[in-house]
Amino acid sequence: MSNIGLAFALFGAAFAVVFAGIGSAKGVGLVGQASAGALSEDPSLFGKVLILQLLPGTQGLYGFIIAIFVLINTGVLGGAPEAGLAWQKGLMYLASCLPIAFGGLLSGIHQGKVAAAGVSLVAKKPDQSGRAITMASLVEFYAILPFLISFLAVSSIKGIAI
Amino acid sequence: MKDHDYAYAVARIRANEGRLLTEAQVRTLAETPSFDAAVQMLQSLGWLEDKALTDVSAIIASQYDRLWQLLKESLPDLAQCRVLTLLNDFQNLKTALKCMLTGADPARLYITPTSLDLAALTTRVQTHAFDLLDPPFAAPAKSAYEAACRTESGQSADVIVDAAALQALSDAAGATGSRLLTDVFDFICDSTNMKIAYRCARTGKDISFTEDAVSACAKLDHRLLCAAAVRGEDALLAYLAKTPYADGAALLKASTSAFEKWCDDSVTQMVKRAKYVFFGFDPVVAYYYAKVAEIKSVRMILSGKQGGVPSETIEERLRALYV
Repeated sequence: MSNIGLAFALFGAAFAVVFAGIGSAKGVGLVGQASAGALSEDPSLFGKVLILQLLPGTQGLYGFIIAIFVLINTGVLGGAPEAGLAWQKGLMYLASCLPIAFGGLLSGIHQGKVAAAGVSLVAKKPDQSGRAITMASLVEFYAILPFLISFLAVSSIKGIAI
Repeated sequence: MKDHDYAYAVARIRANEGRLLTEAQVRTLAETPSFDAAVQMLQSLGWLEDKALTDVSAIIASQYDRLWQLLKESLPDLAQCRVLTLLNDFQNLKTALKCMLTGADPARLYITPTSLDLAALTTRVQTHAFDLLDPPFAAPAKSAYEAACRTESGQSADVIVDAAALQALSDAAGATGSRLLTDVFDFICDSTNMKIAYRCARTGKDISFTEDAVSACAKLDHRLLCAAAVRGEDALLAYLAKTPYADGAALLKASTSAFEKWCDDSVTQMVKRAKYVFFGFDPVVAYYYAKVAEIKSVRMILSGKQGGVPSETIEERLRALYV
């Protein structure tokens, strides 16, 4: 039971990576299908559709960064895990990871939909790629917000005295 | 099938939508001085890639082949291609049956695009092996053949196949889950029934024949439609004037070609709502009907130019376009 705090923290790290990763995987996969359709008609669109396909991939990266921070702060990554990590602190890490876990999951899926629609737009009107990228980028804002909250929370937990 | 499974197909379709002819291009094409000039314009627009093709039917067939190829390559399930060509498939079944009864060669009479193996269809119909046909065609083919033998008339066979086609359309649209396709097929069923009822009214058919010939309707009342048709042309048109198809009813009496144009234009108008849909089957349905309308217009122009029909007459018959 002495490792329960560490277990909570590791669950948090896993949530951040897995859920944000699922969001990105779904988003990038969807845009990838649409991109393949567009490229089969006009291979010169590769550069434009690649940007759109990359956009939903950031959520997975944000989740990964938060998980790395949790692993560093709990000493898991340095090879010296904090064995006596209080369960309250462990829960704090877990709670801190939830914003990017769920924010990343949902924003990744929805950004993928917007970007896939953008690929269709670019396929029909290649000169509209700027607008398609702008529209998909707006969804990114709602991945950045939970990422920042998770980042700030994870960074502050170590200094809390329990 | 989930809407997102169509992401590949929709992107390809959108790319191809950008290559559809515009109203302005079609008007210019209709005003070209000759058949050769029209073909040259189609080649310069990139619409006609094979420059060796100079025959109208070969040009049109090549476009239908391209459309069919695109659908087959894009859609995640081939069964959905079959839904789109269902009406053509039943038309080909009718052709095969009629040719079997008259001893004619159906090969040149078949229409495309079709998902049927036409050689197999011919063989199976000519050898009366109706059970070997695909499920939606087997039973009506057998019934139509038996009716034709019994009555010694192709008309009863046509009635059976038409009714089966409309029923199959209705069933197939429901199976795809596409609201747009359901609306389009409902409209096709109703407009076809209007034509059939009008023909029955003009030829003075009795209620029994009319009720058999007119199949289930979507927005029309089957009983009232048949009863009106039996009372005569004026009674039928008076009934149709009170339905959502009043515009088309007015054209029924004017001319068959005007009514056909109204049917095609109504479908084009209906599928335009898919312009703002980015996932699912609807954009594919819309492109299919948009391309078919475009091909019909080009066929009218090329045939008209070949036959020396004045540009104004051709323009009157041109279909409304999607883009």
